[in-house]
Amino acid sequence: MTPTISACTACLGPLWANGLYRALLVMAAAEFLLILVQMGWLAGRLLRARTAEREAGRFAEACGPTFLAAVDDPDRRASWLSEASRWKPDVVASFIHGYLLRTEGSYRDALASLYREAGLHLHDIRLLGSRRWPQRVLAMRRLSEVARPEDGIVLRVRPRDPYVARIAALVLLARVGNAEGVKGLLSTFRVSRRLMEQPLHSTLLSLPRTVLAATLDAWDRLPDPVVRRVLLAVAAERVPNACCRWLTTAARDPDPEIRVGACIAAGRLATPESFGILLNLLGDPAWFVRARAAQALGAHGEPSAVDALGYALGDPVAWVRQNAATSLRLLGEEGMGRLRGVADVSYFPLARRMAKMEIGNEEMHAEREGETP
Amino acid sequence: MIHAVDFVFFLFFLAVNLLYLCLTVFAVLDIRARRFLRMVEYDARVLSDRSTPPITLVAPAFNEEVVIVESVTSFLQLEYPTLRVIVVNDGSRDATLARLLEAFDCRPTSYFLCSDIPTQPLREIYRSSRDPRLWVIDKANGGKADALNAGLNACQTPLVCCVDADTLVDRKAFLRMVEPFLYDDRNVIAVGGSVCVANGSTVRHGRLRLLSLPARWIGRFQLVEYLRSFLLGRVGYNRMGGNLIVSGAFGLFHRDAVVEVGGYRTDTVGEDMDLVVRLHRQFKGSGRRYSVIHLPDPVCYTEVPEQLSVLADQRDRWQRGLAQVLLRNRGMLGNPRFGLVGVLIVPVFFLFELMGPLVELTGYGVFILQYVFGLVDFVVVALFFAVSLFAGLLFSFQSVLIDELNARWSPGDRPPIRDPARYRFGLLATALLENFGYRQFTLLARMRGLWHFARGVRSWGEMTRAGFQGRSS
Repeated sequence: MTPTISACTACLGPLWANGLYRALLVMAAAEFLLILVQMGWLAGRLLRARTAEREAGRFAEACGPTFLAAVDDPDRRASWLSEASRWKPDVVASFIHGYLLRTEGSYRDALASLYREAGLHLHDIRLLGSRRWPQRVLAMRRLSEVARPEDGIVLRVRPRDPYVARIAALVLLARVGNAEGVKGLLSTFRVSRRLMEQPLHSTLLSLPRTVLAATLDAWDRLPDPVVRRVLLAVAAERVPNACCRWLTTAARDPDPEIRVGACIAAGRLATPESFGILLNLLGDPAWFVRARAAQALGAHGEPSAVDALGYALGDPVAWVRQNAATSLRLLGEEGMGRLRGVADVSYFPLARRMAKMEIGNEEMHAEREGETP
Repeated sequence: MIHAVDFVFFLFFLAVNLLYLCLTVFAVLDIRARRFLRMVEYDARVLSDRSTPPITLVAPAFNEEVVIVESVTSFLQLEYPTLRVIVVNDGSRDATLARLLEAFDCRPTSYFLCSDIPTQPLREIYRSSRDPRLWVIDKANGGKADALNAGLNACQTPLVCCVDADTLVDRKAFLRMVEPFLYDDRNVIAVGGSVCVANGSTVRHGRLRLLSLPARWIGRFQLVEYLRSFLLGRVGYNRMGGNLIVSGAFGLFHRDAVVEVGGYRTDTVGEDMDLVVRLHRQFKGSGRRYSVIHLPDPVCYTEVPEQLSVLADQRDRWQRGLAQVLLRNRGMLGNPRFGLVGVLIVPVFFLFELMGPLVELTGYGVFILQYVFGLVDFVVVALFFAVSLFAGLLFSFQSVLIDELNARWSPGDRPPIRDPARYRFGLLATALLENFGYRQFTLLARMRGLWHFARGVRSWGEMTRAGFQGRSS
């Protein structure tokens, strides 16, 4: 050993004496060392991954064959759980979670029960109190598959939490059916862009009807107009009776965003009152409210809307004309008759063009339907 | 004088390595954060909900008869509820259109097209009777950008995905790429994903089933390069102010934003970078809040060239594209009006990406000349060579390690690797060997690109492909 060191010293000595050589040597050595560390880290990681893979494989061999029976049959569940308890919780959790993500309906509920009975959800419940929102989001996402009302989940949404944390919290609250929690959370929502409405919309759709109806009580107190619009639209679909009482208020709201919500909701509620509201909103000063009202009248399916929609074909905004034309087409023969009339005799060229385009669309649809095998 | 020149090169070397060090740290932080934002638990919800924002996938195709059917098959297999696929045949001279029409039983149909962006005239529009989500637009040749613009005109959805027709897209790519648009409140206007090398891997029925190292070294070298570029570079730039490139191979955009800047420019060979730079220019210039994000997730797989001449042409084109874009947007260089993009990212691209080959090759030349004329001793040359080699190796190794980390943090999202240990250590060996010949070859190709740019060459060059089917095991 000593001769080797002295040989190195003898070789490096002259190099070390020169400042430039010394600097370059130190840099090269440091880089080389880092490369070795990285290689060691990679080797260790691959080794650990292989060990984990083998353990997962062994677990699947030992507990996999009885797993499906344990999910189906509560009597066999206890023996499966006692067998699973001998393995690392991570292995069991990832095994069940793999199935959970690919399952729907009652089978998923049974899997969630198994997950809970193995006590795998408790760690995530503890994580909900974390100060770091990424940790909370991770826990909420996992719990959104397995949580139950009796877990007494308390969510901490902080003012600086991003939108994704609020959505994750809403999904979890939708699962455990906590109306007060949903109301409180919705009051903190700010939706800044259209595409961000999708997670809100789909989560509200998944709320139990009772919770949605209870949430609707606080509709007029929600600060964000987009949230109010989405809630009203979802409520019209899921709890129409509870929604009716807000319709007139929404249609008169000074915020056009809310009036758009009234249009969507009224289009889904096939009542005389909603029809009247839509006719009124067809004369709204905001063009996008008029466009929505025209569209909703088509969905409403009331043939007496033909006159109002025919009049809307002369709207100065193209979107309103287009929606009115499409709605007239959807209203069947009466609507088509009006479109043909406008295409033939209207003095307004833009209305004529829109009516002709829609008639062309109708012919194309008919042709395509004929082509479809 | 000589010491001053040496000092400049050494300073450049230090700056490059410092940049890579920052990018490494930022990339690890970003990949770690992405772990929390990959909402796999909500996939079923997104897939089953009718309010999920629809996406139009636009694939321009020019002489792609070898891969077109397989690629379109893979596009139609993507897991997304509201997807429309528009293939734009850009006046191909081979059987691209015939193969498409035959394989998907496409028939002429009428279609409403906006004329937001002017394009070459359209010849015919077809719709598949086998899968009504597929539309084929046949148009006169006008280049890739023109074909993309035709697709943008036909797109009626808020999100549009521009993809190369020779790309195999991961089945869950859209589920991952749409997440920033749905959950991120920073007003995301464009999202890019990591492009991986498909050479050597097993492809079946339009899906990549098993990931393997490319059989030829030239493919492996490019695999390491892609890892370094996507996982270290672009992911790192997320935290340095934003990316200047969303790969033309696969990128998801807000249609309105793309139309607002006039779509793709047809007079450039770097149309993907040009678009993103103009998006930055438009949004930063008008003081609007926005972000362009690169995801570390592997979203698509592409076949890389395995012939040196084709590879050289490709790098030549990329360098010309870069030069064109930076020259056109020189007003952004160091301009604080464009925030970090102007002050940091554009100068970094100018200095290290555009001028990098010039400085590096000049450095080699100067060192050799100094050594020949006895102005510098052998020990310094050898030590500096070791330092630069190790530095390059270090960052290449880091990209392999980051890929490993990313794979562990996104389990189930990627195809399995055939013999992971052999794959990873094979990549490390490739990272070592690329410094002896391959790196210098690409530097020369990029220098040729700069030379061609100076001479006003605008051609694309030819890309020959073996096709994914030909590679399937």
